[in-house]
Amino acid sequence: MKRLTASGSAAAATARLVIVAALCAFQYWLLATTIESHHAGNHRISLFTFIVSMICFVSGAALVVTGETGELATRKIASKKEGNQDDG
Amino acid sequence: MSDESGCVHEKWREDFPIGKDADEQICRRDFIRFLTLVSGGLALGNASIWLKSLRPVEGTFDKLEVCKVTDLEPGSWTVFQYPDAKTPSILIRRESGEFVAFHQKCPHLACPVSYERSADGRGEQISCHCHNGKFDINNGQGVAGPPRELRPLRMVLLDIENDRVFATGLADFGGKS
Repeated sequence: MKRLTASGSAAAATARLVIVAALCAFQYWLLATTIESHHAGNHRISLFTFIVSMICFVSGAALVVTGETGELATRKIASKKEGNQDDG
Repeated sequence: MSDESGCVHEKWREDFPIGKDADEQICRRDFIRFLTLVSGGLALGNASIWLKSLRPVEGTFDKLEVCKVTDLEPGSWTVFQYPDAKTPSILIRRESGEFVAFHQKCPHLACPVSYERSADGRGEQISCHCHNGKFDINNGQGVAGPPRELRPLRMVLLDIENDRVFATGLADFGGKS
């Protein structure tokens, strides 16, 4: 797996943050629309909006977990290399 | 881990004892985790609405005597609670003598609505004074202000027997009984 530089990691983290924030904003709008429809007696869209909201949540969580796993792996490789250099 | 006085230290602070303001700032990682939590909460909110919609539809409504026909002059209105004590409703006797009734809560921000004559003095309308919303008195549909884009006022079905006005149920949001 290709390792990111420090600035590359920072950019990737910022991009993840922006995407998750955008997903949250969309989910907020979805929830407001669902509540309004529910009060108006329209129950047809509630299942659909629930599924879409869950997809947004799972996508955001997957993005976060992938990013953190990647960073962890990068740090492990970096600390191993430093350990080898110290021994050498 | 705690020290002898019971204060909790983070391990890294022992290695870096000189404090900086930036230490107290929230890092991107913590913020994105928080946002993920918020996202989960919003998804749960949608789930609760869906589960609520699975419950059985409203059953029959009780018949409630609101007032006598002679209690209200044409062009006047009164407030009553229907179908339960927590739901204020408005009964209007129009200039023509016809009775109409709606739930009193504005769909915008739940302000109480009231009956009034329109600005030119020729028509009648229901008005919300909080944000200058107007409703059509025939069907409760928003015609001006914020309620234009929202659901209409829910119509209360009425029955007149022996010169008494009774509330007998709620119409669907299309104004149909």
